[in-house]
Amino acid sequence: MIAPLGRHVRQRMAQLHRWTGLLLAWLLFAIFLTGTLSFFRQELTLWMQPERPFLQETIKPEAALEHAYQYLQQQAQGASNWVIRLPGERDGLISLDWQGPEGRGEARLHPVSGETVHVRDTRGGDFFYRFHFQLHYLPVQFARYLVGIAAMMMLLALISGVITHKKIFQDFFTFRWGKGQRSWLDAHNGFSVLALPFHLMITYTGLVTLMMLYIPWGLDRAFPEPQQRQQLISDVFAVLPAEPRVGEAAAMVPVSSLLARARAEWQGADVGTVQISNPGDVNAKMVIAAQAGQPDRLGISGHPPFMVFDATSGELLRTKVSRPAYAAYGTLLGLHLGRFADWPGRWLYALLGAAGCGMLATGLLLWTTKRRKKPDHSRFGLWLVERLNLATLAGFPVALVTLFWLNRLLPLDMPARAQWEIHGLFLVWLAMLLHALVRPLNAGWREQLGLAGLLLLCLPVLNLVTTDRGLPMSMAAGDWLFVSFDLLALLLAGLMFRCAKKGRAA
Amino acid sequence: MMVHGTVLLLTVLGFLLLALTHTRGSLQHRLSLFWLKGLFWLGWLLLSVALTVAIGFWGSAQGATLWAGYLSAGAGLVFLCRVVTNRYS
Repeated sequence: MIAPLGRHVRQRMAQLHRWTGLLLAWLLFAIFLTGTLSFFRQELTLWMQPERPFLQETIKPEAALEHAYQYLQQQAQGASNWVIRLPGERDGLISLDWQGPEGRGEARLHPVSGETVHVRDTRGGDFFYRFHFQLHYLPVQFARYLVGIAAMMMLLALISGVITHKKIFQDFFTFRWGKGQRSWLDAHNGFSVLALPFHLMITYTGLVTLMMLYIPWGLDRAFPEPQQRQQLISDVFAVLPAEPRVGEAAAMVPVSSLLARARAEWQGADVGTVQISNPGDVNAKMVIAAQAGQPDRLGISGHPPFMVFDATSGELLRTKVSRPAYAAYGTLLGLHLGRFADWPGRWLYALLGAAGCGMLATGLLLWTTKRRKKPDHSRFGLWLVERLNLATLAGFPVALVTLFWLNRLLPLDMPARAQWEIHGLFLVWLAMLLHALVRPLNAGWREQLGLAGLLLLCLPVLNLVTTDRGLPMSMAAGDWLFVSFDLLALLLAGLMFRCAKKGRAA
Repeated sequence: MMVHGTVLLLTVLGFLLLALTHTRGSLQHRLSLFWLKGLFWLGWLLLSVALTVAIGFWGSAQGATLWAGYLSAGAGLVFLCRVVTNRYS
């Protein structure tokens, strides 16, 4: 029971911190871990599709667009919509999507040869990205509300934690080894305080990202009609509203001239996406959007600029609106996504995200360590938290590594292969939960952390025997993405074994 | 890459000085108050220089963002070093 605020603000805040921190902490741990992995969303997709060629050439967008056009004109002639994603620093292939009379189609092309590249069916890094804000198996709207509630509780826990922490500056660098509860508290403070700006930023901007869902009343009031809302979406996002074909064929203007115009408008920034609605029709429209991750030219906004053209006349129809509130929203979104960051910056984001996981994990372990000493505390409550800690803090990493194993082991022609990779993850997580419920606690920690370590240790070996992108070949080719993935797996395996060996993690 | 390394190094050195001068049992009993204060403010100066370098090379938005991140990383590294040295000394 949380007592009303009085003179003892710090104690009240400690209560608030304890309960807001605990109730959804397991969900928050999964969100933080998958969110941290999402900073390497494209890189994880590249690793999970080893059929993609290792590309080092710089490709001119005009040449890539030429390949894309040729392919789409042959394969998606009657489509209502074409989406062309041009090769960038983080993804070297041309990605094509279209919506045709027979449904949705997609293809990837080699940017130099223009040949189709067949890749395995997997959600890749997109799974982690989607999971961290809309989970899986749950209705999207419900899951996003749940994630929002968890984020709000995290924000409360962060603020109440700062107020609670009496000696925040004095204890800034304090850590006492082997002192049980005191050590867990120091570790929790270390993870929390040292990366506090990041924790506050990522939690707040995470809430802002979905603010239209959480506080829709302003939008409802300002734009009550569905048409007005559709207009708003068209103004602020690089999307084309569905419009019918006129049925009269018309030649489209050369896209290279429009690309040059867009680049000149964006201080020379590279183009990322070209969308064409009703291609080849007199009613054809084209959206050209800049590539994310060019902070020197476009700032850190999460909404890259775009321009909409009439694809038959080349007339500029509209550009991204420029309003202070929308720019502020874009900046907050950009801060959350971190797409502006180059690779050291992305690693920095990931390390601070890992600190967030550490903060949640040590907080949960501190909760149980403290209550184990209290004889009057509910035994069932303690038992439940201990088991959930084990199944989440050790079991979820085991399940995540299993996803990478399944990515390499499932047959390439398996129906619904991408879905089965994810089903496998959740089945293993369920198995870890059952294991946590039936095994003695210390043995459970040792076994699950040991299993995570073993899976991580053998992952480079699995990659070596199932693909031609193993560590020696990747090193020889200078393919640092695959090299660093293998090395990171080995490093994390060492960390897991060390935690398992300690055996006192619980 | 060089800029990332420089900003990280400056924040690590800055926090190292702050940790050594501000924490009990470090330099507090070995140096005079004058030197302690001098090193303490030098720590803050290094953190400010890191901000100047970050904004100078990356611009205000990206520079301030990455500097805040490197503050955490620098403090974290100093924290880790102290944990390891305390453990094995």
